Amino acid sequence: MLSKEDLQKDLHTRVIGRRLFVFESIDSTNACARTLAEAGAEEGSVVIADFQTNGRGRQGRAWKADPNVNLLFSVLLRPELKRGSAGLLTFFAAVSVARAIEKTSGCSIECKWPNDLLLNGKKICGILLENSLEKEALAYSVVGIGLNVNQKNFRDDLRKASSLSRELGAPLSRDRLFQELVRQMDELYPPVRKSQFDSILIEWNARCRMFGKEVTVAQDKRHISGTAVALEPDGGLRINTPSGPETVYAGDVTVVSS
Amino acid sequence: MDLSYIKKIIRLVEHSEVDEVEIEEEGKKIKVVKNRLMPTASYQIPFSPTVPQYHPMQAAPHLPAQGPGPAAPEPGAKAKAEPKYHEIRSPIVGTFYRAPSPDADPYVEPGQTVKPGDVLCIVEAMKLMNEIESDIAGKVVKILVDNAKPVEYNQVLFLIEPA
Repeated sequence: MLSKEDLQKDLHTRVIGRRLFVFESIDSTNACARTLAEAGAEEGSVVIADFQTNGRGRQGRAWKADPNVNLLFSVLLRPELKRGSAGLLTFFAAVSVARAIEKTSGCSIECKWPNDLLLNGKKICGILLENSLEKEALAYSVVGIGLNVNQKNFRDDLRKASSLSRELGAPLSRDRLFQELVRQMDELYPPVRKSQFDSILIEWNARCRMFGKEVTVAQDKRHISGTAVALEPDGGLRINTPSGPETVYAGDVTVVSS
Repeated sequence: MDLSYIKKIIRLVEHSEVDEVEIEEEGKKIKVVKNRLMPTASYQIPFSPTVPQYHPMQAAPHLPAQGPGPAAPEPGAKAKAEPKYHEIRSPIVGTFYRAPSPDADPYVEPGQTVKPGDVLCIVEAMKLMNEIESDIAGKVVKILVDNAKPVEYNQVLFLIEPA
């Protein structure tokens, strides 16, 4: 079980994780963080739980994770972002998690557009960001992270999912991993807070292996196929399709060839 | 970085929508600027093994000319014809959702009254769910976009009749 004392011991971060809310079980850490945000909780507050009874992915999809073996937490941010750049927070979260895993375990993490983190080609982390926008200004942003740490078994329909311990062959300390994650976020956050994402995007690029490959993006009833060529400065994925270049901002991406 | 490579970059910039490109590779830097009196957009060019360079984002976040976009100007024109209505516009490029999940009820229906702070819809970009709130009290007159359809930056999503 996670304890506040262990998680916060010698953490010494500037913004992220200075307030910690630890739960044995909760409906959803994102929902809780949003309630705290509405109530005026300070920036950097983290909600973490050993188990979520109603964990969510995008568009209400369920995020199911075994109790006491994973890291399920949400971070409250109140950055001053330029118009249109809120989507770049996804890359901030992805790079922070990738850095923390690499530093803790020594393995190499691959980033897949926009928010997937892969180890040995398997998805090991889910990121769900929820923003509240008032008249174009960002009221707050909640970064939800579900990291599969020591989970052993996955449902048959999740063939592409795995956990760090399953891929690395040894269990990891959740406390240590969480602390490293919070430290990496804290270190990367100051420029992000002022809407400067240049170095985040460069680092994300260096971890992405999609470029030059054939991809298909599924959007609602539409499928876009072509070669993934670049990440746009606004976070969109540029694809060269048979009918010309196109930039996508949403959808599920599948890499067709390697 | 040899001369033919630089020539290639110049040709690329010349024949593209891009006005300015800056590339740094192994300590050498090249900047190609097109001499045009146009607001500059910041872009990178696609070339494989090197790390792309990014410019800090400036005022032009998205060029509407790029997309297939006849949809973008149209709602604006419509809105002009109905000046008494308050417009709620999309703050980002993304996908428009009327409900939090496919089997949930929509946040709002036409005819419904809303107050400031009420969530009207979600616009998703890069797996980030942006809840768009109403900034006034009034009645939802029209929802201009279908569920799960892409929206452009600044596209009008809702028309609200102020209370």
